[in-house]
Amino acid sequence: MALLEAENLSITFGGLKAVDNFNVKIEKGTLYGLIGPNGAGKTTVFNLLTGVYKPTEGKATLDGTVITGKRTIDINKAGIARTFQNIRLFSQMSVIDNVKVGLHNIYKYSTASGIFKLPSYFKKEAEMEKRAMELLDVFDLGSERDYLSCNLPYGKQRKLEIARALATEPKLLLLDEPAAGMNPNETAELMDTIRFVRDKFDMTILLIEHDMRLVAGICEELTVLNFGQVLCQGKTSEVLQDPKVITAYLGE
Amino acid sequence: MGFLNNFINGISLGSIYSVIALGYTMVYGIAKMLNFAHGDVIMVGAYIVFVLTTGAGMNPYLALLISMVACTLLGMTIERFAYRPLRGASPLAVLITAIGVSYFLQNVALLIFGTQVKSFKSILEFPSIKLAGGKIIISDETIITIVVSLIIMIGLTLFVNKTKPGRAMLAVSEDRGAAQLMGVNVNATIALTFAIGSGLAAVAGVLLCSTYPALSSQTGAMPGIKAFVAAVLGGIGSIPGALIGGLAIGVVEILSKTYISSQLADAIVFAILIIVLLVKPTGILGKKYIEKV
Repeated sequence: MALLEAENLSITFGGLKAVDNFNVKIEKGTLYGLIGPNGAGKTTVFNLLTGVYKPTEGKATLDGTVITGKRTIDINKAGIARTFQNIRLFSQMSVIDNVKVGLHNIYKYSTASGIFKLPSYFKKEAEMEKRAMELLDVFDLGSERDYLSCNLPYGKQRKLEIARALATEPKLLLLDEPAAGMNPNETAELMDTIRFVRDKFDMTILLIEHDMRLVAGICEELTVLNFGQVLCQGKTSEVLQDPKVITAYLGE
Repeated sequence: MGFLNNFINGISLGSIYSVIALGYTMVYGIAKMLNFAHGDVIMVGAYIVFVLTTGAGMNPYLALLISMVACTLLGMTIERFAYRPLRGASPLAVLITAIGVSYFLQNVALLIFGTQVKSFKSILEFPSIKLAGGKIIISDETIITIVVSLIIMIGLTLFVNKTKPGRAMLAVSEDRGAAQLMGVNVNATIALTFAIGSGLAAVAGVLLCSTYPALSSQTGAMPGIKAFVAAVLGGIGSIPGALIGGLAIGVVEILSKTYISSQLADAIVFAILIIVLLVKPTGILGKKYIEKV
C-alpha cells in the first residue's frame, strides 16, 4: 500500500473549487513532484494534507490511517511535516532552538520539571541538544547554532526549515517551493540536499516547485495541477513530454 | 533621608507592579490579547489567603500555596471558557470579553464578601531593617517583595528561554501557524501561559495586601491597570521590560504622592502611558521587527 493516498480530495471557497477531485498515490521512498501554473491549487493541496484546511469532500490516508479531519498537530504527530513557500522560521529564536521546537513531541518532560529544574529536565534537554546538533550538522549548520535564524543567508534558512521539519520525525516531508528565490548554484546544491535527505533519512518527499530543472532533475513522479484539477500524472519524463502539460505552461 | 525612604517604598510598590505586569506581558506576548481580568485574579488570590488565615487560622504559607493553585486553576478556567472560544475573533471582541470577566470577578467577590473593606493581616513577620541610625527604615514587606519579585523574574526568564515548554511559548508567540505544523499544541501552550500568569497573580495579591492591608473587591483593579501601564512602558511582551516598567511606575507614583500631590499621582502615572504611546509605542525594551524584503 502506498504511504500517502488521497481520494477525491476537494475544497471549495465560496463558489470557487480550489482543488477538485485530487487523487494521488505516493509510494514510500519516492521523490514526488507537484507542479502547475500559479494559482493551480498546489499549496492548497499542502494545506489540505496538513490539516490547515478541512476538505469539503474526499479523504487522505497516511500509512493506512485516515488523516483528514484531524487537527494540524495530530497530523504532524501522525508523520507529516512541511516547509513553507515564504520561509516561516521563528526568526527571533536561535538556529538550534528552531530545531528544538521541532523536537517538541519527540522528547517529553513535565512542565513542573522544567520550572523546578528536576533531573529529568537536564537529562531530556541534553538529549534534545545532542539530537538537534546531529540534525544541524547534517545540513552544515552546526557552526551557526547560536545565530538568530533571521541572520542566516537565504539558502541556509531554507536548509534550517528542512532540518526543523525533519526534527518532528515525519514519514512524509512536504517541501513548498524549496528553490524559490535561489540562484542556480544554490538550486544545484539544494537538489543534492533533497536527494541526500531522502537517502539518509529514508524519507518520502512531496515537493512543489516551479524550477523545471530541479523538477526534471530529482523528481521520479509528477502530478500536474491546472485550475484545481489533475491534468496529468505519472513518470516525470513522460509527464513533461505530454502536450497538455506543455499547453498549460506555455499556452497554445 | 526622607527621599531615600520614599525611593525604597517606590521600589517595593514597583516590584509588586512588576509581578502583576508579568502576567499582562506574558499573555500579551503569547496569546496576543490583553487580559484585563488579570488584576481581579490578584484580588481573588488575596481573598483566598484572607479566608484561610484570618478565617480558618491556617498557616499563611500553606494558605499562599493553596491560593496559588486556586488562581492557576481560575486562570486556566477563564482562558478555557471565556477566551478560547474567541480564538481567531477580532482583538476588540476579546478585549471586551476580558473587561466582562473582570466585572464578573469583582461582582462575585462583592456578593460573597460584601462591601466592607477587610483588613488584611500581613503574612510576613520578620524584623525591619534600620540603617543610618534608624533614619532609614526598610520594612520586612519591602525586602521580601523585592526579593520575591527578583526570584520570579529570573526564574521565569530561565523557564522561557531554556526549557521545552518555554520554547513552545516563544514559537507560538512568533508564528502560531508554523508552531502548530511543527507539532506544538497551541491551546495547551496558551493555557500554560495563563496558568503561570495567574499563579503569579496570587503571589502579587498577597504581597500587595501585606504592604497595603485593605482588601475589597476593587483591590486588584487599580494596581492591575497601573501594572498594564508598566508593561506598556517596559515594552509589552518583554519579561525584563515588565521589571523595568514596574519599578519605574512604582517609584514615580510614590515620589509624586510625596512631593507633588497625592491626588495627582495617578494622573501622572497615566500621563506616562500617553507619552510612551506617543513617543515610543513599543516601550523601552519593546521588540521591533524589521521586515526583510
